[in-house]
Amino acid sequence: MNQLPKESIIKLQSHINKEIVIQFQGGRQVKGILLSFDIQLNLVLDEVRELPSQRILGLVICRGALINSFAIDGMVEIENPYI
Amino acid sequence: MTTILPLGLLDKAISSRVWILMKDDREFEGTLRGFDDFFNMVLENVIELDNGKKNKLEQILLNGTQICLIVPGGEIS
Repeated sequence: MNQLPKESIIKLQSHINKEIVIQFQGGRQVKGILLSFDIQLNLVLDEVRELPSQRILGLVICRGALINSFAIDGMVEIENPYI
Repeated sequence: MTTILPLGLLDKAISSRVWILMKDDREFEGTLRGFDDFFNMVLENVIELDNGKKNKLEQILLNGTQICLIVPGGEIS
């Protein structure tokens, strides 16, 4: 059996100080600037706004355990291609 | 340049007000007394916002598994 490398496959260091959009389990979405992260994917974000309401949250800690995905170069809403 | 880790920022928030957004539509605001590695938290003088209803709780242990976002120094808005 091949030993898998112990490095994380996600390279978050290159996204520090960039704006990302995060989707959580349960449907919450926020966008903010990534300040730091840890091995469990907990994040510190700045200038956070909740989407879609645009409610301002400010400096926020996000729990990695509930993160579904994050978008790095922004998100664009498109028409439903499956209809 | 020192970057602050998520748990480090939470540690700094001990003894101050925090605003917690859960995975569902509930929010809590209270004074953070302590937390553990699983983000379970002890909060005091808590306001719970549940479906628009506000409840006051003196001291609670909040289960970390449902906690989504933590705003140090924040308040329910």
